Amino acid sequence: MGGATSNPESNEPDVRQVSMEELVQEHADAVYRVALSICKDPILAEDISQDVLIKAWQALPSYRAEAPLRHWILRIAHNVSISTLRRRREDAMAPADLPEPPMTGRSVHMQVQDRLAIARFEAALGDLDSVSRSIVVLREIEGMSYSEMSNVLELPLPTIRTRLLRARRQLADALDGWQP
Amino acid sequence: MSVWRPGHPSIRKLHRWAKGQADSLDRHLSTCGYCADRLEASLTETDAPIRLALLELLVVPDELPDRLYANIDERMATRRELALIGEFFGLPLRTARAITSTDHGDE
Repeated sequence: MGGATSNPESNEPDVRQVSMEELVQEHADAVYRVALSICKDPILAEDISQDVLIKAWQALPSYRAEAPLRHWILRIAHNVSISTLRRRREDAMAPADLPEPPMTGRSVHMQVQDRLAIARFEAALGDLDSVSRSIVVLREIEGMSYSEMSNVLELPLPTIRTRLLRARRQLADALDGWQP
Repeated sequence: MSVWRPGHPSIRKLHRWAKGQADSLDRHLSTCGYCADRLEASLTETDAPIRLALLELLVVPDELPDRLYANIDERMATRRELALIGEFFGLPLRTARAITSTDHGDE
């Protein structure tokens, strides 16, 4: 599992030579978030992340650099998460079973309000279809443009636009009045 | 922010759609990039809580990359060992085939 080498034509590192360790360190967080948003189970999300990173690393020789490497990996993450969920849908953990976030330094009242808001948000996120969940994560956390999301998820631009707007509407409703 | 054009819903109406109060705009918004962009731009401020809530919910464990790498490394080592075992047990079969095919070739 060797390190990255330079591409003499572009002076950019040749990502096809990226080591597994570099791939994991650079993209594990984003892959895990996409997986978790779709399957809602932290343990399953970690298993999916492993599968995605192995698949991506093995497929690196076929990567053509038409899109950023991260987008290519996140497309794999989305597809693997959806197919894994289809196979194991009945086993997916219910949102209520997810571990609670740790208490912070805010007042108890605020923390209770936070948890209620996050629980409503979690339920609203869970009500979205899996593609819309990916769209929200790619947009809000990865900061992708519509056309980038269209490329990653292989969906038409108007579909991305409409699903994102609808998803935001539902999520904003769930957070109504929440002061982070 | 872009200027309103005649023939398109007002930003107020778009906000009503965003609150679920103007479903009649569903079709228009699915095809009109101009209105979708206007709504998108005006909703940027309301996005901050969504982003924060997502980060709160989709927490990545601190040690995740190291743990993933260790597990992947172990899985790949196991695969290599299995491939080696397969190679070892496949050797007599390939030898037998090679001998058989040579016999046929001689005939």
